[in-house]
Amino acid sequence: MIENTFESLRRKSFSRRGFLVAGLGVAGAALLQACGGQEPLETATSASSQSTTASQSSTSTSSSSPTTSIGGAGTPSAASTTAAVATSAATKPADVEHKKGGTIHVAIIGEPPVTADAMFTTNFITTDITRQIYEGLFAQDSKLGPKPMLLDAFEVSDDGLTYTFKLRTGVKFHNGDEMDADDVVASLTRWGKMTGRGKQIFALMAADGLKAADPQTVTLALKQPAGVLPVFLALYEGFITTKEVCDAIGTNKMPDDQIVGTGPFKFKEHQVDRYIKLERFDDYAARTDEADGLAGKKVVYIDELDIIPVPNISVATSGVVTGEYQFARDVDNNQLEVLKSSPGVTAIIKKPGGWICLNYNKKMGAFTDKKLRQAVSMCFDREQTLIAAYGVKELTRMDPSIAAPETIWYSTAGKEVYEKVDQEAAKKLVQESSYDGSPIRWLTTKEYLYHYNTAAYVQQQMEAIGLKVELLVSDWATVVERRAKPEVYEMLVAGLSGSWMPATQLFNDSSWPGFWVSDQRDKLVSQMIEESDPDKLQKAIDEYQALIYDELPFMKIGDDFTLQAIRDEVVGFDTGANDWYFWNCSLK
Amino acid sequence: MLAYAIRRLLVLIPIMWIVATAVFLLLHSAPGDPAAFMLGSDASADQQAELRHELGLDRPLYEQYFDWLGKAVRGDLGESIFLGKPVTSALAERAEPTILLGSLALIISLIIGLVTGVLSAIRRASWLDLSLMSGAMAGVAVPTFVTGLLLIYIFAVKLRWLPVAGYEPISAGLWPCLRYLILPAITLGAFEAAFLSRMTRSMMLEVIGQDYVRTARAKGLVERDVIIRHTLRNAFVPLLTIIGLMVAALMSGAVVTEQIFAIPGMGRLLIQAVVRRDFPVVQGAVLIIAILYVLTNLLVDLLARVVDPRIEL
Repeated sequence: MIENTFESLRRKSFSRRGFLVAGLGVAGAALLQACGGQEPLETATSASSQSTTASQSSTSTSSSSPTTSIGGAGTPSAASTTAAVATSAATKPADVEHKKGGTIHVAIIGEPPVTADAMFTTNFITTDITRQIYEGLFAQDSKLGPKPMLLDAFEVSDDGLTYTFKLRTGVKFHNGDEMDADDVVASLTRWGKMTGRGKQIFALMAADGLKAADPQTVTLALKQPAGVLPVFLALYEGFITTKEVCDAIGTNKMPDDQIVGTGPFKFKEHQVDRYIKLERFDDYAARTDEADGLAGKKVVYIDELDIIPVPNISVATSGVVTGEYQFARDVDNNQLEVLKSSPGVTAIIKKPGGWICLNYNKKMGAFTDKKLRQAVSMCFDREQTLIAAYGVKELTRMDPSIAAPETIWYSTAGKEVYEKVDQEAAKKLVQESSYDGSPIRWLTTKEYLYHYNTAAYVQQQMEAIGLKVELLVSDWATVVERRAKPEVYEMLVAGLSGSWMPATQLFNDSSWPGFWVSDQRDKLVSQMIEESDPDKLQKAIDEYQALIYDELPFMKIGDDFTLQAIRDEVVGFDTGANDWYFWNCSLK
Repeated sequence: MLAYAIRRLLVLIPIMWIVATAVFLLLHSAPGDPAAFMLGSDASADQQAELRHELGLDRPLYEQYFDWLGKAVRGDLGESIFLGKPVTSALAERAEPTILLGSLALIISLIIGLVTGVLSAIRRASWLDLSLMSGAMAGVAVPTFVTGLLLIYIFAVKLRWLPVAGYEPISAGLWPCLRYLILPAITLGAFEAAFLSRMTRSMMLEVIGQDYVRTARAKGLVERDVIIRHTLRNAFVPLLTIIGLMVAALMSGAVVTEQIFAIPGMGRLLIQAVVRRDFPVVQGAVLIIAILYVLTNLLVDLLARVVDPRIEL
């Protein structure tokens, strides 16, 4: 009894002391957080002023280099070319003194399904690596239009049916062989067998249409015009490798020991989940025309480019802050402010990125009724939805276009429908529609938070106009499988690319989830593919986009941008519309 | 003891078959398609179907099952769909980082867990006990991804003492390898230590009140001998089971820690394989993990017999 009382007294007294210790611990932690965690305001201010200067510099860079894209459709009237919150890293390559040497470490989110075979997969990590190693007949300029790359010149016959490609001489592959027409024919044949766009072109090709006329000339004969061909060939999947490699691998995925390109970097080593090392190709045959996006002259100053998979993007960002990585391809949106106030680091808001939409199942269920699609499309505020989806307004943009303002295919057609938000009118449309009160099944996932956040926000708006919505949350792989089955859902969010030519958008395929079937759409897509005259192409794009806002197969919500980070010791990095690359830039 | 060990090893066969079959059925009944993942979201349905055919995923399920089982019996776990190499070599490549990380985390957790657990028990209800057990409670409650990110923030970002993430093999030298493993090992070890500390304290308290402990004190043994030879040794048998499970868990890969610190170990391989629906890798990895658990448990039972000869096997 006495012992118990004593115990209890001891406990009381030490428990008080314990609380004191714990309290001090918490206070200490808070103090530590307050001292170390809070970023100084001055730095943030200076970072933002730097950003403004850089944006101006970026704009002037764009305007100073004339765009001579092939098949261009004019400059978008409402286009904003200030693509990056960049600083000195955005300096134009010609303006800076480059130093040779060093290694740039790039943090990417994961391991590619195949190291550098963009014909096999559209996975972005693979295309990122393919871009450094390979080149195609054309390359994307700073407006994402095609410019000759491995070509000296090309001609299109008056009827638009025959393309004659004159290859550059003296272009060497990484194995030392010189590129010739046989390599191009073999590579394009593989492209025609393996990729969606290649198959599209090959379907239009005359029998035996692809030929090596002489060692430096390739001809491609078509049954009907395909003005879009240079645009397709400028994409990463249209890369050229040797005939020997094509013969050896056929349509299988390319093993690492067969990676042979003509690009400024060559493959060195791949340790799965540790790194992919590329090194400067010293025999690279650079073009002489001015660098313009991925086109023009390429000079590699660094010795090596190490691409490192870092699955946690917060950790990748920390690595850029500490200087372990010079560039992080993907940064968590919530870390924008952290980056802005980190000395020696520049946040890049990569434009164009993608765009998201509410994609309706038009094959069966409630959304076969256009009135219901119209009702849902006008019931939610685009800006609020974008903020709900991505958290940071700066990383989003309200815009009606299928192709981003930074591209040559921009259009404002359908803007009035895109901008119309009217809940009362939406309620009326629901009443007029054939909606029977059944729950609208929405496939979503928390694996990509913008999917779920968008669904959660728009669900409330839909319920406000009298609709019942049921969110079916699962992992992404399950969403991918279910979205192909029209009987299991009514709607889902879809993320699409803003840098693609509209004719190549996925939803043009009637079997793509959402199942948009439209004769008028097919006609306009054919026109876009055939047309090489810029004005006529633009007209087709405008009509196509107007059709989308009339038929409402989906409702675009807005654009989203990728947040990236680069260290300031990288000089001359291009923060424009093109995807990242590390030629024409160096280390301080 | 030998007969017991052989009997237990024979039990491995049905266990492995059950695990293999269950994993196979679960994986194939879950939605998701490796072809879709491999080709990217822009690939057409035709392209995906083509690849599925090439990979043999369009064959009847029973055919795929017996094909895989037949090869597995002969030690061939198939080829990774994503990595394009045999599963056994993919797993072997991941063994070094996982074993090194697991061992380091085990050492940390054993030292911290046992010492703090014993100290808490012998200073029961003191401020030391309260502080240590509060720490242990926090260690158990805080998820490893929080601990990991916090350690990265303090030691890599703020103090710049250690790298944020990555891995260097031991062939690159001890320190280059260790500097990448310290933070993840602490992350992992802290969690295990917290758990072990609480368990050690409980076991010690159970034993510390026993008559033979009082007798030991009464016969004039110094306190250190009472604690180490009489109390800890007797508390150690149930602790062995816990440590055994810890060893199996640590050696089969730490999914979250390896992901955060970008360590190319078994845990990372397994989680990526699940996400990518790389069936052969998941099946192979789960099979190896099952074997690891069975063998560790066997070892624990044999060790328990050594520690306490009264235990009958």
